[in-house]
Amino acid sequence: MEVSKIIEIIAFITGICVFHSIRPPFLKLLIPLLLVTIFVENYLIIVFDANFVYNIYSLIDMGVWFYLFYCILTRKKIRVLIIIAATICFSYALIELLYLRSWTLWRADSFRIYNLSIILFATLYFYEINKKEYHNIFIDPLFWISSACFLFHLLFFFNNTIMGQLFFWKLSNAKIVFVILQATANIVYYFLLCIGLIVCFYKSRLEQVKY
Amino acid sequence: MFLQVQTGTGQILTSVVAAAGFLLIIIATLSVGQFIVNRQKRNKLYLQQEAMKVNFEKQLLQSRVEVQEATLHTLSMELHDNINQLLSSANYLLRSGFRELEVVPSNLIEAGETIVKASSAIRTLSRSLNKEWLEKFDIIEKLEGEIDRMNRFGKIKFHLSGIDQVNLSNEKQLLLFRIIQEAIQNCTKHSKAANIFISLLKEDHNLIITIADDGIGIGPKLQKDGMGMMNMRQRTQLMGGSIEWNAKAKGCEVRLVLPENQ
Repeated sequence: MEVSKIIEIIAFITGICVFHSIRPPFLKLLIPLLLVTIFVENYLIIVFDANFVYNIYSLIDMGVWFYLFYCILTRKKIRVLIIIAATICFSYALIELLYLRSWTLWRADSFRIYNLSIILFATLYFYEINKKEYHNIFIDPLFWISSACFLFHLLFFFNNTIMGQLFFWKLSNAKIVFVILQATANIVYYFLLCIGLIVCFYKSRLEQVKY
Repeated sequence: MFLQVQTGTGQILTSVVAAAGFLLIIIATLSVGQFIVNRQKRNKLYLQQEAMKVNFEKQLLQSRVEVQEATLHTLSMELHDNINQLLSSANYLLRSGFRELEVVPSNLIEAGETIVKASSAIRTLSRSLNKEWLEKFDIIEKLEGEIDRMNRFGKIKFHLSGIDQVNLSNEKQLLLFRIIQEAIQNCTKHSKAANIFISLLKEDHNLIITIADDGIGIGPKLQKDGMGMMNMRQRTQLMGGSIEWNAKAKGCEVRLVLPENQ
């Protein structure tokens, strides 16, 4: 089993263990998302066409993350920006799937727009916490989750970009490079999600001691 | 030959793409790391500034309290050494005048008695304002004396209940005494109460002090922070405690929570 898949399962188990301590509550949505991811990556892509499965799964993933960032970023203007970005991403994804490509081809272009949106939202969260006079990031699960998104989508954007270049696939060992980069992105992502979930638990314990 | 060159270039390009990918993740990770380090540095600086601010405010409050105590001490000395002496002189002159009269009018006798009472009241008041005198006694004893004095001279009935010993330093006892004095003064001035209840209780290493009255309660004007209330709050903060004013069905209540000496 690949390392990234093991970390993915560890992240899910961590999520289950700390489920009751997850604050803010909207982060609990990560647990069903992780469950769906595990199901997709360990079963569905083996049984069905991988691109078809990932195309559908990516729409769910997109919806969840847009919702989570809508809850994380509370400023009105940013929320409007999230709604606009979500509309553009979903529209472009459906156009790409229905007209430009097909359900059995990976929708790299619309996914790059989604990558950029998430990078932007994560950066906006960093900006928000950087503006504060005091903010302890070690007890802020949202920081770790935003970091996970920032790093994962940055590398995924790079991967999606090289994936779209025909010359890249003609290069020797192209597939190995792609797989290694993607695995690295996954490892970083699930590792930071794990930290975020553990921080939730740690924070709730601290609050219990406080009161 | 051509094929060999193409394969060599391809491997170099693959390596470049891989290196670019890893460089990207390294730079991004380092950026996040740098963000964490900077944020922690700013947090540390902020905490240091806050600690300095708290320390400065504490010193400022301490100085204010010391100045107030010095003023009260001077006032106490002035009451005892000047006004009390004047009253004694007035009483002496009155008594001298009595000897020259064959029949002393009853109102003059009453005036003499009033002067004696005033002198006694001033002496007691002078003592209550005197810091040195207060430091020799504990707050309970002091409060009992103060309540006894006020019950003798005032219309309002004062009631003291609760513990008979408090675990606070002399300095804190003095501060607490001044807070209670201020609260009592507020009650007598504004509440139109018939009774004032003062209680001191212990609760989990905390001292709970309540000063309640059965008067007209807190009006909207009185809820605003006046000088007296601000002084009470600052003195309580100086002792690391908290103070609140609560409206009751009849009257109002000042509630203080102070951490006892461990």
